[in-house]
Amino acid sequence: MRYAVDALRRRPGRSLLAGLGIGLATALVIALLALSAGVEDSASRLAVASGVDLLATSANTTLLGDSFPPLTDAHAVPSGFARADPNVAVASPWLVSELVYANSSLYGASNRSSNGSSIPSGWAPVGAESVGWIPGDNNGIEAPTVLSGPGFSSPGDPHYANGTYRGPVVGETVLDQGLAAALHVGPGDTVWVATQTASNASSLPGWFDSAAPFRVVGVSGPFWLIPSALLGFFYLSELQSVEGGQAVEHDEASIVLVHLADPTDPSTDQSRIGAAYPMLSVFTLANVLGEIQQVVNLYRTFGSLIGGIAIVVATLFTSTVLLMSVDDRSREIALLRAIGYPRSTIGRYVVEESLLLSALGLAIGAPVGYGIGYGLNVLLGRLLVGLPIGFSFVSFDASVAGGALAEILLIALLAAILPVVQALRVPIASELRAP
Amino acid sequence: MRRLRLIHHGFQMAFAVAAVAAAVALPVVLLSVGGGVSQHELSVLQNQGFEVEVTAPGLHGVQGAHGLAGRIAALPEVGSASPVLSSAIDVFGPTGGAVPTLAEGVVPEAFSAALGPSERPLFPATLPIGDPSDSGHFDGGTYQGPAVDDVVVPSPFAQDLGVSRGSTIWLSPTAERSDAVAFQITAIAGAAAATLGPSATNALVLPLSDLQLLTGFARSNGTTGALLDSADTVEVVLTGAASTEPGAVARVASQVQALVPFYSVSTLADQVGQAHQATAVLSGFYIALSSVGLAVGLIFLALVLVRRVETERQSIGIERALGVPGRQIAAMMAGRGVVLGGAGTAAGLVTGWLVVELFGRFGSASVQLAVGYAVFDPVTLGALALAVLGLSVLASLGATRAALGLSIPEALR
Repeated sequence: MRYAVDALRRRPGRSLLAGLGIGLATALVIALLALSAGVEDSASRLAVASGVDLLATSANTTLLGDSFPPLTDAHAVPSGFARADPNVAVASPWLVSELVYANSSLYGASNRSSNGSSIPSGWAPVGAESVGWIPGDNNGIEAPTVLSGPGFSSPGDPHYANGTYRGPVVGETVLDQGLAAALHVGPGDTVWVATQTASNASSLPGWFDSAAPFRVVGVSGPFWLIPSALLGFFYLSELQSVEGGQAVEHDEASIVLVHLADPTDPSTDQSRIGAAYPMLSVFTLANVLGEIQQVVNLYRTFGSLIGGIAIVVATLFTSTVLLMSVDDRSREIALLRAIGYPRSTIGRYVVEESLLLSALGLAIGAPVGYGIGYGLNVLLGRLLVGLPIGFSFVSFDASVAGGALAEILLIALLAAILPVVQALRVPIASELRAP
Repeated sequence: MRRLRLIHHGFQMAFAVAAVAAAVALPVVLLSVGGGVSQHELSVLQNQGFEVEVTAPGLHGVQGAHGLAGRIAALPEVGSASPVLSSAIDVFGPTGGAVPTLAEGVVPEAFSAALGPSERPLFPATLPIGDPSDSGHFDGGTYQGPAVDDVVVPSPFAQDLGVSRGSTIWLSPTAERSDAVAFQITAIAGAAAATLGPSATNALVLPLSDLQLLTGFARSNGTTGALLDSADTVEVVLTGAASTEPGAVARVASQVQALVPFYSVSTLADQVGQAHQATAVLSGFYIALSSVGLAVGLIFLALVLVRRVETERQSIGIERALGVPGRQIAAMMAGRGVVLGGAGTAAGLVTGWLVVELFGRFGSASVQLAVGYAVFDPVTLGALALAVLGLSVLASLGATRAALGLSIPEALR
């Protein structure tokens, strides 16, 4: 190894440049590996932590399709699924919809004039994603944390009243921080909700007449299962009633989330529920992650190309620097051979030099790659709102470290091939004879 | 000895060219595929047949769509206004279970007028789904007029379902056959090009009032409650010359905005502008990713050129001693940089093209689709090549400095 160190020290500028080249390539590879590992780890961890083992949607839908008709008889699902499969611990029907919200300030301004002239410019109802569920049916399934306010007062869905929709209207809603901030409301305030917005200020009084008032009973943190910055939560039957028409008539939901008592063999439960509910499509978590994988494949291919090209360039660079080094020391090598050094020792010297250069590259590339990954995580975290706590786009785990080491070894060994051949072919006599 | 060194130099040069080629191939692939996909999306946007689009928050947020379209169509310089309701429904064919698909409820005449040049050939000139204005069945918002229950089905869907023109299919808001309504297929639409994301171009097309009734967005309680008449968008087509005049488009957009201040009204030019901005950001990202490889390749080139000066120090010393001016030496070094960089660039362009071809043949389905949009834009690639050549000249500065800094007596010894 001393011979290799000496060789690098002899040409410090060149060694440093080669190390920098390998380092840049390594940094890029580390950043890409960390990004790939981070997204995959976070998605898998969150999916497992969500408590959702199965997902059910309307018949014959695909997870990546653009057609998700609603499923019917949503309130019968929790007991029905449990009957079909005793392993079902929780089956929670969710209706996901887009609603329009307004606060009491707008309500007050709208009431001050019949033609809307008292409404300040820029004031208007706000659109947001909305989820209707039965709060008590979410046990075991991750739901957003209520940060302030008491949350829903009933675990059931009182208004549903066995399908009559004549039970008491609780009129409670939990808003996420984004929507609460947009509406300037907090626990105890009232918001008005409808499926459509008013078209102008003069139609606002009529809009408020038809909109349903809800009391804010909680402000929640971000909720990654529904990727939206503005989100409101309701009792299922009350959201169905806001939608009206067929949502009530058919007792509609968009999706059913299932938590299993024993999640070790979800495909068996998938088959059981599928057989009992032919009008539904049932997916396991593995199906969902598989679909995500399909989407990620496009990016993975181009990421591999970027990493591959960085490795090719770094390998060629290292190989050339080693060739130069062999060139510079051709007489020395000839002398070593002449006094009896075996070919294997000469070859080992060159490989050691290559490994040392690559290690220098790793020393430069590892912190730079970490810095790029960290910066990327901060940048993407700022760009995408509503991410769950603990979600990270990058992960520096053992697989990333292993990948970086493998890349360095690959560069070192590939780059050494030609220089080793050249070193072993140095003509001893003519090198020693040369002036 | 000398032959061996020459072989070594040959390897070094070849490796430098290969490194630059690999480094250039990366932006060629990223810019051509990424740029191609962006260009495709832009062209889809630019080829829309309408100039202004109205949307609203909420569930199928545009309320009173028939009436609003009528008021917009009455504005000066407006040719037609096409309300569109998009909804996921289930379809039952003669056999088999529910097939989920996207349906678009339209006003036939206005819909045809708002079709872009790439969509127009896919549909019959006159959309055969009953009343061209959809006013008969809508019947002033009562929905009591005679329903035609006609539907146009895209050809891939018709093939999958085993139906043809004249067949009856059953459309339902849910997967329950009992909720379904029978519709007659009056035309088969052509197949739209595959897209990278979900698209409504392969949707079933039926009268707006029919789809509103089917999905419960006609009136709040079926046919008895308050009028909803919902749609997702209203696409506004300007008359002849006004459609190409930005001032007229902006004027119409502002008139429409005045009608519905709480709705979102955007011009196609706004949307294209936003898409252009997104494309510019993406291109910057691709170049940033590629710059690492290019930087390494060019450091490599600089090193090889300096090395060559070292091996030619004697001949350079002779030239300097004979009075060859420094700028000629500098030009020679820059020339070498350009030759090596140029060879690497040329090889990189070819390699990039080959990689795209390989991805097109052997990539996964999504990769093949993305690569299918690749565009090798001569301007972009020319700019890339010029930038690499410029950087190659920069890379030769080290060699020039080394050559000019040679001590002549020492070099001649």
